Amino acid sequence: MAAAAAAAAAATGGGGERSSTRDRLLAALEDLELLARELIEILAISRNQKLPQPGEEGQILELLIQRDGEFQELMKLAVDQGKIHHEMQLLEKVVEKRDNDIQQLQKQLKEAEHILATAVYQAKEKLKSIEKARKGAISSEEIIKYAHRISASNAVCAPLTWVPGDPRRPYPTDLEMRSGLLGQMNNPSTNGVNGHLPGDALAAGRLPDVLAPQYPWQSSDMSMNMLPPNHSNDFMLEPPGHNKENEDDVEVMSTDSSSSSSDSD
Amino acid sequence: METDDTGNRLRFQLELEFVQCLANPNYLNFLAQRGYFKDKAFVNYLKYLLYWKEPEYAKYLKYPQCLHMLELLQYEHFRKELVNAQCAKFIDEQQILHWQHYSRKRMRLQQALAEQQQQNNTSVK
Repeated sequence: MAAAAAAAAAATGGGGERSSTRDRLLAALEDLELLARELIEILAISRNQKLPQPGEEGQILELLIQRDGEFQELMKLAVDQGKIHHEMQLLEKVVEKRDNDIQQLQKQLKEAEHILATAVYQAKEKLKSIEKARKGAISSEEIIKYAHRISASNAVCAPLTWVPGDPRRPYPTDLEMRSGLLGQMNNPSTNGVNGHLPGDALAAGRLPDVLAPQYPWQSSDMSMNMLPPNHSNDFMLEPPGHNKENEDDVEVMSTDSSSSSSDSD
Repeated sequence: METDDTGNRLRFQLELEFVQCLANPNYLNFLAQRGYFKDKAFVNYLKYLLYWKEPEYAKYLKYPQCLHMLELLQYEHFRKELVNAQCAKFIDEQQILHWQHYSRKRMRLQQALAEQQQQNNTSVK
């Protein structure tokens, strides 16, 4: 019986280094219980009859004391472990709190980043529009002058006394077109129908020959800043006095398709 | 060179006149019927004339409506449509109606004001 108890204790003890303190404590308790029971049985038997084995009580007692010692040690160990466990719990709580703090900060940071990004974007847009406005800045006086010019001549607003028979129009009329520079460029021929210049309208590309550069506008340099940045040798002006097919136009595009793009080079 | 300047000035004036003539829908109809819009060189010229949209050039325009017509003329469909006289007539009518917009508005305002004054006078009496 004692051997069985010792074997059981050894089995649980050596069953693995990882057996928990609790298991060991329980095992020790069981052993103690077993040993105590055996002792009592032997004492009870020895009171009634002779012992079959003489020294057994002593052995059991020794085992009992040994097991008790182990038990006490295990109890101390358990108390220490309990303390450690308690500390661990405290630390875990602290860690959790820190985690929460970090998450909170993260949220706030993200929010702040979002707000800043929006603000930066809007600021950039604003700067762009400021730049745009600055680029297109025109003095108010100039605008007023221009507005006055186009309104006073009734070019954009009808005269207040206008009635359907009135010859005035929001665009240059026959008469105006003919009396302008374009109209005067050629010898005026027969009166045309409403809306066109004397002779034919502007012809384009019908002049096949490149005229000899006898006219000032055929030079290739553009000295005036007024004119758009195009090479003037792309356009051939028809000199006045040439009445090819009653052409009234002054400017003739060269038939080269690569020219005459209005983009500057 | 002096001759350069003169030539350029002349060209400027001519182009100014021509681009403003484009505001006249009857003239556009005329051009369309004579087949000018079919000429690629002419179409390129119209594209070239777009420089009048810039403020430093636009300030010389007396009839700024021509710019709108110029923009429309960049589209082939518009050029094709202009061959019809009805199209030109329609554009003409709309232009004139639009032209009268402000004077009509002013007349309405004046009428409203006159009516109000009349009401005030009658109520005072």
